[in-house]
Amino acid sequence: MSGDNGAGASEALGRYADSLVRGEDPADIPPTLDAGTVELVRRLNDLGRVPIPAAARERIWNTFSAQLGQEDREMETMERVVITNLRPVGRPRPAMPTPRPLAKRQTRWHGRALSSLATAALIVAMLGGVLMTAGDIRLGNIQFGGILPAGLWQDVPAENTVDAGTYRGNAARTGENPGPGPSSAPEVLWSFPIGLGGYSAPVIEDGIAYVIDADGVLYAVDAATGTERWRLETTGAAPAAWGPAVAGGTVYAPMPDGVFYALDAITGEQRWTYETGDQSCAAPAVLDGVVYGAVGCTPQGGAVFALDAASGAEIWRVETDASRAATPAVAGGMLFIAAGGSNRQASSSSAVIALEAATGEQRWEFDTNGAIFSAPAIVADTVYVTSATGTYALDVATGEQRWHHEISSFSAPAVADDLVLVSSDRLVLYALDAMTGEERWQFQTMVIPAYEGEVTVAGGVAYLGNQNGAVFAIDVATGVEVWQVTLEAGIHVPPAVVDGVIYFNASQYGTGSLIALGAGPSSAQDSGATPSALSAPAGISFVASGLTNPRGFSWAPDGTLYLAQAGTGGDNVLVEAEGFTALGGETSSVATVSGGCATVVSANIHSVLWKEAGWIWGAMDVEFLGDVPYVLISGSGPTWGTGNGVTGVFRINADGSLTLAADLGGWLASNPPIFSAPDYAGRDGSEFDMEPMGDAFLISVADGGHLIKAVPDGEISLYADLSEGHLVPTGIAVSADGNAYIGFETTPPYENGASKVVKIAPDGTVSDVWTGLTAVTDVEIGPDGVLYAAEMSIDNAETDPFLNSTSGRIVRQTGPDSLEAVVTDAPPPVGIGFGADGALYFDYPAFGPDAGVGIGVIARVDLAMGPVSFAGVEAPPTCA
Amino acid sequence: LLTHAPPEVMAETDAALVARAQAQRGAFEALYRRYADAVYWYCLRELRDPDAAEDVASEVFAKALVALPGYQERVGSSFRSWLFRIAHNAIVDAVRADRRNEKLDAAANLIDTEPTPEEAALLVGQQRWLLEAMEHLTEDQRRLVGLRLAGLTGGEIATVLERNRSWVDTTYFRAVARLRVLLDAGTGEEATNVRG
Repeated sequence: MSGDNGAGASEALGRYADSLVRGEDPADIPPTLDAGTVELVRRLNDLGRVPIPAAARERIWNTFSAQLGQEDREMETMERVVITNLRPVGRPRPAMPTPRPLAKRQTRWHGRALSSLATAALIVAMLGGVLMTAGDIRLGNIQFGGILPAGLWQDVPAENTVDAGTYRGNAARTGENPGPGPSSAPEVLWSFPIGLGGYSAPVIEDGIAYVIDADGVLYAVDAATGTERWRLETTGAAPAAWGPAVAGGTVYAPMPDGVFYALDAITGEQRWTYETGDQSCAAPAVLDGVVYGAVGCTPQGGAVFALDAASGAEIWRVETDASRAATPAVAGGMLFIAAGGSNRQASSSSAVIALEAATGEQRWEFDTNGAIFSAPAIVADTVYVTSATGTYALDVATGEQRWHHEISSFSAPAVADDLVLVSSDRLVLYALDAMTGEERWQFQTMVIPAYEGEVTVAGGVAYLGNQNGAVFAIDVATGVEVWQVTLEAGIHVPPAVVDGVIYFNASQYGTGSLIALGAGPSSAQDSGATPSALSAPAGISFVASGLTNPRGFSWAPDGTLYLAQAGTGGDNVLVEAEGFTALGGETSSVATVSGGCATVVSANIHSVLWKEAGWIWGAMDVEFLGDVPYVLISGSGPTWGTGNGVTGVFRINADGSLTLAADLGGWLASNPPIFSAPDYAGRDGSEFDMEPMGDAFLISVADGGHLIKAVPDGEISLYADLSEGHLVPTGIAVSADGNAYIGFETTPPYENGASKVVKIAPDGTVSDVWTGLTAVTDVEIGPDGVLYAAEMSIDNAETDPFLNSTSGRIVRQTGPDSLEAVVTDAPPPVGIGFGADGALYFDYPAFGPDAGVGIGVIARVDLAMGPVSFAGVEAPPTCA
Repeated sequence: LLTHAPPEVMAETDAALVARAQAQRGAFEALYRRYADAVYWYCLRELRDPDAAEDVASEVFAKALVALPGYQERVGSSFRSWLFRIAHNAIVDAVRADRRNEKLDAAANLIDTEPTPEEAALLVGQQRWLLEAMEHLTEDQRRLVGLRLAGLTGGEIATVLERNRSWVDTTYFRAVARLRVLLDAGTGEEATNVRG
């Protein structure tokens, strides 16, 4: 931290922190604070907004209620009422605002005399528009039909088309960009360092990217290479800069020195300047040869103005009285601007004001009773605006409210494909029907509420980033994620999307970067040169194919990949009972995998097929203690009709022979589960997964519900009895601090959301840590420290065979009851693991036709490439 | 800050909710929902034990509800500072009780500041780093930053910790400076580019 560390600086920091916790205007940063400190305090403030696990909140409530219940029986009434109503925190519905008559607020705006010949031309143009009273209105690529109020609304000029040279893509601020975006998860093409970053949305025009940093520098950067073309340095730090506008070969930039610059877009040569007298928290718009801008970031007031684009001459200027001015939207001869909002208090007076674009004369005003901090979006005859009291659709001609939705936001909406996209303060992107306001879909973005989460739409895909660097591409029509990648810097402003590239202004602890994301050379080569039958989407590769019933795998200390293969059962009828025919043979093995080929190192392991169910047991997992490999073998012992066989953990000797290290069947014979399910196999159980824990292994017994701890050549003990409810424990992960995480397969019909992951603490306490999962076969802790789970099959049928073979997923935990899919549409996964390279490895299928002969695969997924779909993907032969 | 919804969009003030809850205990739910997250986080950061944090947070709300009829808003104070004063005292009591049981000293050496996987799912990237870095602050600094994260203003923190505003500002300034140093040390070259 630099600067004065005496009382002045600490008081300034205290005041700034106070304003943040009060949710006040973060633009009011004391000049004594340096940028790094400001960014750090801002991030600390954001940290306080992370919600706690819902389960914890409910437990606190229950405990709290119970404590009071002991002291005060009156609480019982309250408890009943409240617990049934316990739900995510909602928002009080605000009083419904109404349009206000013009006369009430006329004193707020002080028009300045029209001052240019250009005004006369505009008036003529306006008069021309007056003649048009009905018909189709076009804006961008959207068309609506309708009857228009006479004398006010004009057809939208051709100049108001979508381009990447204007903040929100056009003067109407619809949030559209020309696109296209990258067709799949992109990679970083280049990164250009700027000063204090994160506030100005980049704009792109004629192959040059323009961005303003908060230190007062405008950069022009080659959009293809990321090299600097020119820069304009001004004095004074910008509290926030919404970005320049580029049109007709000129860049129009409101800079923090209070000067509005017009510069040659190619050379940076100055064409004219306009003294605004204040800083700007608004991006300009250029339309019909007129530049519209606004200044004033504080409640002390500001102004909206129209300038002749060629000369900089002022056409009109309207002062705002005790109001800040946000980015104006211009369309159809009207200018709409949000004014007011001295802070982000709901009670603060804020309004959408409609002015005639030609004269600045006010036409109507709509009071939202809550702060507005962002630009309205104009489509056809509707103004869409977000505020602290919700999202509104207003008639452009009268300001009359068409609909209101309670979603509050401080970010500008985007309007595309008949949907209004609003980043709410609930960390969610909402899509509302543009005509009715009805909610169509939600998408969790984890965007911290601020002026953030504004989306840019191109080609039917919405792009946005969050403060943690996650970049999302979301299908606008459905709300389904197309891909997601993560940058190492946070994102606070919307991107520009053009020519297959996404441009972000990102910030990491105050240091900004202009980043270009697009399809890299490697993925381009993959998609172009590889035969389609063998191609895989970017991020997917295959380690081995042609396997038979692969199960658990792990890496030896020397990096060699070991795999358990459960075999195919055999010809020997071991058990023949109603509904349970066991066919056995020595077809299971342990193999190493290298160069795409599996080499058996321990053969002739007993395998058994439950004929009626199609399930196979044999070698289920291979794990290491030190450099010694062990294999978990299930499906042997008296229960399975192999009198001499043993279900247990075996040491794999150097010559491939096996030595029994833990007789699990013998231990289970005298340790039945508390709750015996009807399908409990009996004393030998059906062991599924094995995971090292210190000098022992934890082993899950799927049908019994046991979690067993077995020290090789030592004690076998019950670690946890999870038999209640017969959820069928399968995958195990053990964290460095000794917590065990257990997933559950559940039972037919493998209902969606019925599975979960529980944590078993070292003291034996069992708690749910991740709910809402489906048919989990394995759990792992990723290199990011977060839980991942394999879901065998989702959207399962209610009747036999219940599961389907193309809906497997690998999911990542995003909250106590939420997830994001990193692999979708996959054959049913069995085991997952993370390699030393940080990539996700998983094998499949858990079940399949023809006893699974030769259809097993180990796949590798590069998580940095975003989520991948296995739909239509076939693994090629990997072993010659 | 204190719930999923920022305070500015909550139509009812704390004072109005308190008045309702004083008249009708069932109305306390709204206050609970507004502050449950913040109180729990504060307890967790101080106690560094999720189970203990849940217990103490429950106790805080139980005490607050019992004491609510006698609560009066005073100049310079607020319901929030009153609630966190209760939380602060409950945490101090819990720590003392643990020390009496000679548990804490032993446990303190075993505390792993790494978040658990389920916590890691909620806290990503720099957030996680900040939480870890807070462990390197002094007790006063950590407590103060924790109250800032809980959404308290400097004046409210002064009330909770029974200090003056000047002490709060100075201590917070030093805490942030300390975090900046840790940041520079922790992120190497990139951190040296932080301007100012």
